Amino acid sequence: MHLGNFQLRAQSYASQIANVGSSDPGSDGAEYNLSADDIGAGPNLSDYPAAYINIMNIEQRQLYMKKIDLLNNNPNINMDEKLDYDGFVISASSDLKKKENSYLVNPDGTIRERDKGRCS
Amino acid sequence: MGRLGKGIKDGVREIPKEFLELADPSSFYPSLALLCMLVELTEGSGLKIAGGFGFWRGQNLSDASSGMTVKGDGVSDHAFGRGFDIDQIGEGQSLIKFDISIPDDYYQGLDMLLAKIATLPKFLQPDSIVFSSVMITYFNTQDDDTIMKNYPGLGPHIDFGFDDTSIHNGHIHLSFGWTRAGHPDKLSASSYTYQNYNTSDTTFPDMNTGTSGIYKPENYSKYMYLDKYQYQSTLTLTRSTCR
Repeated sequence: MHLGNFQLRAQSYASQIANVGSSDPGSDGAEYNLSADDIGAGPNLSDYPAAYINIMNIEQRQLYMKKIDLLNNNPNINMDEKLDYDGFVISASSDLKKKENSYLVNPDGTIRERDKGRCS
Repeated sequence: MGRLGKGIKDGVREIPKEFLELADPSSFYPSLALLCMLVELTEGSGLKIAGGFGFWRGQNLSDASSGMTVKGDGVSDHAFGRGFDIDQIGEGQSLIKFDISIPDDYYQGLDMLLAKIATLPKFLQPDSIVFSSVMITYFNTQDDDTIMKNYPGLGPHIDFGFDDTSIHNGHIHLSFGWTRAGHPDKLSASSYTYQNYNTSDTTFPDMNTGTSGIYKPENYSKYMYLDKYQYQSTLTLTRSTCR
């Protein structure tokens, strides 16, 4: 199976990503159980790696836009450029639209099962 | 690797094919958790910071030279709008520039940043904080746990990155991972269900139990703010003016 650049990188990206809900020593050495919800506000809508605007309803968009407005008007933060209410663009190769290139594969060619995790 | 990853083998996260199919090109917002963190770091008498999101890293993911992490082994959080690079920081009128050729200043700025992040609720603390490996001599360690003891309040999920290249000689990288990027409904809707704190408890619950909520009741109205609603410490949903 041929993989495009982005797929190859997505594959290595995935290799860095771990499951949540793990047991792991805390700073005091004690074990604690973590889930994404214990320490986070959840993943993006539809579990995408980025917040896709077109699938949001008006209320969801307004939440982002309000935060963007707060930052754009905050004199304490100087960003390289003003945040755009229309968002920023992510673009992958058109070849990656092909279904056969849209999965991560194991070295033996089998399709990896979808799993929960995070990036590092 | 962040601490969520310790003890995990074969952890895999698939890039959803639906995401790839629509990404040619498509528009996205920056991570909501990242936006909220930046608001809280800087609002009012907060820090003054200067920096950028690095959105360009996601504008051509088919280009082999873009989008990668420093190590070159993955796609940067910047590409997905989940990262921010701070190159100047300050508390008063003057700003400290992160310039490793002046390591005392670099450390002073980093210390200021970590101390501030430690005051935020855990869900607004990033997954990754990357800085120059020169700072190892200032911390006298590169062990995350040891560094965290200097900043009570930092979540144990945070992964410190000590960059021994020159890439982070002029800035500090902050980013959120995929599963903590922030769901708009969880930060806004009445379906918010994963809190379970005791309203009589005004301290951060013990993270080690993994069973308690992480939010200070007094911060509820601040962090759970909606366009039309806000949560009260009684967990009743009431109308409020827009912020």
